[in-house]
Amino acid sequence: MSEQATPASARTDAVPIDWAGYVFVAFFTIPFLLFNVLPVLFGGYVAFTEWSIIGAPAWVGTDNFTAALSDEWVRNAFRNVLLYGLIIVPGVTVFGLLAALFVNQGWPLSAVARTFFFAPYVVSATVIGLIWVWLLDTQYGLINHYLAYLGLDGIPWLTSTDWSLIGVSIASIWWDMGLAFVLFLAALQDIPRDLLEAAKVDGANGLKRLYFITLPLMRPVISMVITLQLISTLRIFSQVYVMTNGGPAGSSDSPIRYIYESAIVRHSFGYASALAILLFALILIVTFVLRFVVRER
Amino acid sequence: MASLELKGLKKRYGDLQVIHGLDLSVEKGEFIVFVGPSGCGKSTALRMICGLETLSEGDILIGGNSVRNVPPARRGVAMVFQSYALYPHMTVAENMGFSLRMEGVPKAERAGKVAEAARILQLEELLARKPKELSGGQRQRVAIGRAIVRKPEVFLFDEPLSNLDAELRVQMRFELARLHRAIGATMIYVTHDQVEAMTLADRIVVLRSGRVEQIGTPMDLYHRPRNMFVAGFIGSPKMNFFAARVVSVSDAGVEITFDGLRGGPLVLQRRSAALAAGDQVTLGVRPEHLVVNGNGAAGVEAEVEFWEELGSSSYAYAPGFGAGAVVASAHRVPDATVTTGLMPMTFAAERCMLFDAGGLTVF
Ligand SMILES: Nc1ncnc2c1ncn2[C@@H]1O[C@H](COP(=O)(O)OP(=O)(O)O)[C@@H](O)[C@H]1O
Ligand SMILES: [Mg+2]
Repeated sequence: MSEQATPASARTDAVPIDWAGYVFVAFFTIPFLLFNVLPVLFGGYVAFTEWSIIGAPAWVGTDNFTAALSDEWVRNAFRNVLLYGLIIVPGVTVFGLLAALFVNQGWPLSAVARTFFFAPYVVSATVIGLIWVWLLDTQYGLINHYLAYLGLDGIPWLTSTDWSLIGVSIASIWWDMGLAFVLFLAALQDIPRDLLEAAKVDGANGLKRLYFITLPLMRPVISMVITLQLISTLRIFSQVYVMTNGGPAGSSDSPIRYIYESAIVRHSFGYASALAILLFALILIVTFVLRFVVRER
Repeated sequence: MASLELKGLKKRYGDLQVIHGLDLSVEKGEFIVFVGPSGCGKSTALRMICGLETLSEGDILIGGNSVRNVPPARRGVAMVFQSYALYPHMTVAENMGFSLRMEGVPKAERAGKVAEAARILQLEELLARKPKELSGGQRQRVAIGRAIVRKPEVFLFDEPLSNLDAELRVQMRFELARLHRAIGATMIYVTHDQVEAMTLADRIVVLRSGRVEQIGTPMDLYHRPRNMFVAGFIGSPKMNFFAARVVSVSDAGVEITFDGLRGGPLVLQRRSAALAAGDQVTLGVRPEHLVVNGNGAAGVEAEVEFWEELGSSSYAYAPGFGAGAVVASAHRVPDATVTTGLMPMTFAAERCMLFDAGGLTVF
């Protein structure tokens, strides 16, 4: 291109292109600031106030936090969520892995199985919750129906304080398994066939290949699934809300459900915000600890 | 007793037949190379020996015993993969000792055997490293080391050098030959590179589309190829082919001619009872026997477009001659280095080969 072919006006035309960049970024940034950052900052402030959404928040210092720490229901919800984590995270990891290993065998039914395992993930938690309420029904539920065939007594899955947390966990595992399954399957299919064949020639049978080759190679994706699942389980809400609303007697309650109740039902926004900050702190600590436990060697 | 025997080996994938009956008897300590163009079934044959593919028909005997129903690990074979297939999460020592670990060999004994293999391959300083910390050549040696540790009856190599650069390939070729001499084990080596085949093999098996074209020593294949395919495949640059016609057959030899022949007809002073005047034949001349500005009687004149100079020898390329390219050699490149244009080339008549209309070698 010659000098004359580039008139001065062409250079000034370049300026709006800079602005275009900001405009594109703004499409993301402005909603993010407005709907994420601002509420978080505001919530941080509200946590130190008493506020019922009508009128101005009234500053109460750390009263909400001291109240939360001595609230029996808060302790219950936080203890429950740790139990949820202990059941759901291993459940999702193990069953997701088993499902992926099964589908990866390429047996005749594996295409059907793939859909079956992944389908729950794309269905809303509400639907899953309702399906499982029906499946786990003490008198008419399918699960108890089959347990009866095995000669076992019906279990009051969602209506007893002993079982409700487990009932909700079962539904959660089934729901959350889809994503873990897909991630595991992708990782499995990424393992070079040569490696498994070399191991076969080296004398490793199926189980040994799994233990010595496949699982070590999947270590990064397994630790990712555990981390993501733990964070998501600490925030468990929809299943609890739909299936038991935290009951009976708070036996399946979770922090977010209790936060929801404090804010939306009882209009204690200050108290709810304080609880949210406590949950945030818990997630932060757990994630941090987990990073050390499962980090790459 | 043969170390490895293939008996009527066949492989089908559904309707697609990939191996059409492979028979071979390999002596203990022999270095056998399967060579052939890509897709001819070399890897499939090797994987069948290894036990990674089932046999559609036939049988495989290792050390005299059928291994048809024996899993790979108990066949007494070790395989070196083209991709090396090193376990990325294990150190070199762990990679090499993995098979022993699977066998339940105690740790101390394992370490001893790994150390011995590492010494043979000069891998001692690398034992604590992971594969990703190694160069291509080192990975290759680890892959070979992993095979050596098992002390197999038969070593199997599937294009083991194809991921290396040219210089390393030559060096590893030499190391492989030395290794073979040092441990004296039976080796089956697959490659599409005829130079590797020629330099490494005791005997070469030339495959085409799942069929054996010829089995023989490198010099056998070079001097006495059974047909045009083998003649064209073995030797670099490739043999030149000229479609020709028999003029006369007599006690003095066979006289042939073809379009573009100068100073002809070309007299090949060898006997053939199978040929008669008028037969269609193919004349085969290796570039080393077609000499630019040589002093033979008969020859061709071809438009040389470029020269390939290798120092000790030079090759002239004439892509536009008749139906195909002609490659000729010169002891000395005429005049200036870059000489192109119409040039006379003459045949070393006593080295010319003749193939019949079916492609089989006449002489
Ligand atoms: N699992 C398979 N299913 C179907 N066809 C195959 C399979 N493996 C190899 N083939 C076919 O068999 C032929 C020989 O393959 P291969 O032994 O890998 O050739 P080479 O190693 O000589 O290049 C090819 O045509 C290839 O497409
Ligand atoms: Mg191959």
